[in-house]
Amino acid sequence: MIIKAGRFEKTQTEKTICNDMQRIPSPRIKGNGYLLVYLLLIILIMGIQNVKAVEFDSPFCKSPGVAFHPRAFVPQSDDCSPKREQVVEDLRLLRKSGFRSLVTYSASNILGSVPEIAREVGFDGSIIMGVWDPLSKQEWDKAITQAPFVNGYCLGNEGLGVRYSQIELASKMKELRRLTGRPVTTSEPIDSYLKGIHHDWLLINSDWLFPNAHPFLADQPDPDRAVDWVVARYDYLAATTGRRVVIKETGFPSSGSEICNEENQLLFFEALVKKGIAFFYFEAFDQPWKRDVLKQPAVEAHWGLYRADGTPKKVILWFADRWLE
Amino acid sequence: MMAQRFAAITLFMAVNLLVSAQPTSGSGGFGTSIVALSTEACDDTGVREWVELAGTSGLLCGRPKHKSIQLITVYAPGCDKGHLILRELEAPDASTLLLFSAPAPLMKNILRATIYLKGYHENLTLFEHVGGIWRRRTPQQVCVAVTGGRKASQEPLLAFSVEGLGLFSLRDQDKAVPTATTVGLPTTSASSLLSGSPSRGLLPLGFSIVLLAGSWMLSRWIHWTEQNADK
Repeated sequence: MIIKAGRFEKTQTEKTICNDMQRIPSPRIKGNGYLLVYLLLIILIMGIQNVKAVEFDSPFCKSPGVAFHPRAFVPQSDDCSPKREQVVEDLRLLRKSGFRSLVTYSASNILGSVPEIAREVGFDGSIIMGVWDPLSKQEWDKAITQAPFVNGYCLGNEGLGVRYSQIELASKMKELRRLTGRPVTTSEPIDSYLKGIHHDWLLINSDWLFPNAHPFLADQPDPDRAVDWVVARYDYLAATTGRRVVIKETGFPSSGSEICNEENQLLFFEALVKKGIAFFYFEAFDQPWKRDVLKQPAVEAHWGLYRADGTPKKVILWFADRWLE
Repeated sequence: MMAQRFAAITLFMAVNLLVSAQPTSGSGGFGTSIVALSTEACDDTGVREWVELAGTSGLLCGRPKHKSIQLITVYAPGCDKGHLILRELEAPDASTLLLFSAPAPLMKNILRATIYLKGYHENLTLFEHVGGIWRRRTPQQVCVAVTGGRKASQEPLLAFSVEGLGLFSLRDQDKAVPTATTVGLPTTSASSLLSGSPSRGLLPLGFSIVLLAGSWMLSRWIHWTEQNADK
């Protein structure tokens, strides 16, 4: 600073320095800038740690399915075929509870029209049409006409080596694929997919694996143990084959034995659903003819989620609560 | 100048500690090397194995080289691949401890898992450590075809259905339920962290923020004193 005319004035050097300093950001601004960068870095790093949204990818989670025999079906009787109105009533009842997918067992008589009727009633999920006797011309012709309404076919059910041979079934499966363009499979007990004489054949010839899994019949009466039985087999099969596995039948009888009651049936399905495996509920309605006509053990008449008269069991109240829109 | 550098270094350390306070994601996370300095990095025994998992539609499968475990399946919707670390320890009561760890995205999405053992008798039971409680898992015997070889044969497996991956105690059914004393729960060692187990960093998140704020105030104070000293 110099004194000029009584006032303090900056020298030329001082003026230059002051001008230069005005162009340089102050340390205060620089310090705050660094801090801002650090904070932005922290926010960026924290933001990167996100979890991919989880979606449950099984189609049967969104469209639960049931194994269906009409209530009025009684084999080996003169009038074993239910009427169309009875089938419609049964399917409406199931649809009303929340079921949207279906698997059937036969294509004879009115049963050969179930897929079409199911679509009319509102089943918009997967419909797998069953053909009980792959060698029956009547069932065969009916099955082909239903192609527009089905997602796939299941030829036969627990009859390999008994009602039909491997060669016969393989031939029919191949032909049905060719005629309809739909995937085709068959259905055997789940242990047959893990070992035994049909093990390799089932894995080679099935477009997807569609086993039946009945832990109660394998001496697993406790609902939790029964679920473990199913999951142990399902996981091994799916993981070691890399194939799509959907359990066609799995359930728990509600009567016919000391341990069988509606509560245990409900516990079984509640525990099974939590595991996240793909399955069809076995079965829609109690079928007394299995005990009365076929003379099978008492439990066979009580696998239904509905009783034979159409009244719901406890499991339906839980199911409807879970799935109704 | 030295004071400015000191302030900058302090800020930088505080930020790094803050970042370290986040959960590690996957194996070899940023924070694990720091944690290794402070936790019991030398408490590490037992066999360890990296098991690759592969599969589709969320069902993953791994085949460890472990002498007893034939197969592990893990159902984790949204995950099509991953890995887990299998560690086996011998507990003080001579039972076997199995510790499974996996990256956080896999661990969070697991709905179920199944462990298949080979060559064991059916009297075996598995206890799963869930929420601080040992839960018994009874085995299911599964007979499967053995692939390969000239003659078709079958192999019995013991399958244990569990809720997820974590700590398990394998013991005979007539042995008592495991406790922290008899089993001696393994502490979180650095090597298990490096193996992919999620863990918090050196400092809690809140304390890291406090440290960051304190460092900033210190830097401001140093700056203010320097300014005043210049005047």
